Amino acid sequence: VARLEVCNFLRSRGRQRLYFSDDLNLLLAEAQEEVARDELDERRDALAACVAKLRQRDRQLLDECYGHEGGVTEVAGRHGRSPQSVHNSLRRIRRALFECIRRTLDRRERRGVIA
Amino acid sequence: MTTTGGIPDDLKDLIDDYLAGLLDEAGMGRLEQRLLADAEARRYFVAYCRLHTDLHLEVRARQVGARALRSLGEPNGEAAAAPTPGARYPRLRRLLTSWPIKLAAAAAVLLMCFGVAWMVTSPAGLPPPPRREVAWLVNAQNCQWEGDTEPWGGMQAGTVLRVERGLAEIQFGSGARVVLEGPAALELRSGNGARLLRGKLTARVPGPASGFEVLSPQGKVVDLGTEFGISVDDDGGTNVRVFAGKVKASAGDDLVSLTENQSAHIDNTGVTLRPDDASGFIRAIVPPPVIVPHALTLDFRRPRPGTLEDKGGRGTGLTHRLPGTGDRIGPRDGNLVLDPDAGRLSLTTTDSDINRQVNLGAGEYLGVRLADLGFTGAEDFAVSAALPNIPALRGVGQFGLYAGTRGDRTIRGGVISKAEPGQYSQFLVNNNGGRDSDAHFVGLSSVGDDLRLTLRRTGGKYSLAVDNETAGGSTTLAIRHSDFLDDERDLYVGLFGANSRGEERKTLVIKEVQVTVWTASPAR
Repeated sequence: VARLEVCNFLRSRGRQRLYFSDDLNLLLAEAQEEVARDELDERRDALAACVAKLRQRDRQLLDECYGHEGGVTEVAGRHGRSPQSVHNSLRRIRRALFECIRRTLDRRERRGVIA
Repeated sequence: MTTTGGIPDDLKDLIDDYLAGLLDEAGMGRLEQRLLADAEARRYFVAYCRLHTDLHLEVRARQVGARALRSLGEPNGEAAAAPTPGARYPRLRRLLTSWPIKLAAAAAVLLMCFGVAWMVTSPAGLPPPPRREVAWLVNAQNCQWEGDTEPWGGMQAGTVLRVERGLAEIQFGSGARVVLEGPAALELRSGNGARLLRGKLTARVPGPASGFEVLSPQGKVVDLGTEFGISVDDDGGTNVRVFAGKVKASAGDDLVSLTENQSAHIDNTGVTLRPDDASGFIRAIVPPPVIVPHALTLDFRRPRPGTLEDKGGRGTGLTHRLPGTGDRIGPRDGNLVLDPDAGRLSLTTTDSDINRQVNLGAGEYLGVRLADLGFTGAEDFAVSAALPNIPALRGVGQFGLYAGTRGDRTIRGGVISKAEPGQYSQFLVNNNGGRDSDAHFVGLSSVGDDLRLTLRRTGGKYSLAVDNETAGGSTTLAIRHSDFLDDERDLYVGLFGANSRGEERKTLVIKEVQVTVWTASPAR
């Protein structure tokens, strides 16, 4: 919400045609404030560790999709796959990473690493 | 804490589709409804979006690092056999492992913001040419960019940023960070240098990025690990101000070292020390305040001691009368009945009229004082009430909502009976000094309808929304803005019911009253 200004800035770019309502954006910003209390570095560290545990081909797919601006369609074309199939793979990988980060942070919290 | 328990798979699918840019309008609507309804879902959404953002940063940081290492270590094709980056290039290793994290702190904010699907929505095409990104836009506030120069993500050397107004923060590959204040034009020259063509910037240069260089039309400023500001006048003359540390300012062979709190001017005659002047430089983008809603909701399901009492002495939850009204009504208001079992408050109207100030001593104008919800004068607010099965008033009988300082300074709206029996018009009207003005009438409601009325001040402008839950329609009225309440810090809002100019009193049922003030607090 500090971020709303930034959000508005992003909106003006017209990259995403559809937007949430202001009411929801306000609620999301509140949720973001809440989550933002987590340590960003801890999450990034956990993410890096979780990415390292991925299979090589999953890591490569992340690199291709997240590291270039060509997008999923281009990656799919390069590998002879359908865009939907690539989307599905990304979905699986993201959820695995999300779960891995959650477990990592929970473990650290139990050990008292996170206050 | 990340929580994922209880998030249904179909909602997770919607969120993934959102990130992938695959949702159509209907899908967005479904996602919005799900998120609006469930705080845990919103937390999941935010955390999941953050993962998406972090993945971009993680992958891109690794790629930038790998490219930088290649550019240092591969002239003879040795990189494949090179030892670990940290072993060969300890300083570079430190850089590469520290700046992305700092970059992430700001960029996460930028990228978190619900529109991050660029990577999956790009059209198919040829593989992009190799890119050497030297700087990243990491923050922007109220930015208006000139023409098509709006930047996005990583930027290559040679990019010229032209910001007409607002503030843009740019992180260079070296770690130097620049706040550019519009109107300004900045050419990115490398990961550790830029040319200010016009306007102003401030730069913060951490130790490892020492040597950060800003060229101007008349000279050059080289940083030696510090924070400084630089501005370019219309004639190309350049002003430099050092906030901390040390810089070298030069024009041709003329070179002057500046230290903390020193200023200098560079033009075609050379570099001249000037009286210190720190004014006019913006050194950081301060986030705008967080807007926090403070809401009071009355469902009338329990008495609230210490508030305005009904005829049986039960606290209604409403705390104040509009000053200048109801003076002749006793402490236990015989016109009010709280029914906690049914969750409703009944209000029997009295013969009063704010227009021309008729009999306001007996007038029922009940509500709350906005200051109790954090209102200090500038905030937006809303008051709403649900009124089922509206009764038939005669004459100019009316009920609805008000905001004001006292009985003769209000903006009020609601429904007012029409000449046709059993029918109402919706209205909104200014009353500054006791007489109605700028009245706006629209729409039609009928006796027996269930209404929800909402009087809002948004961006300082008042409007009334009438949702007719029986007829299924919705009307919003606005009137000419009159500024008589704009500077008031002590406002009252609430509801009223009046059988104005009519003998026949009727009873309104009120199911719910909600008052919200959107207050600003400093961003965390």
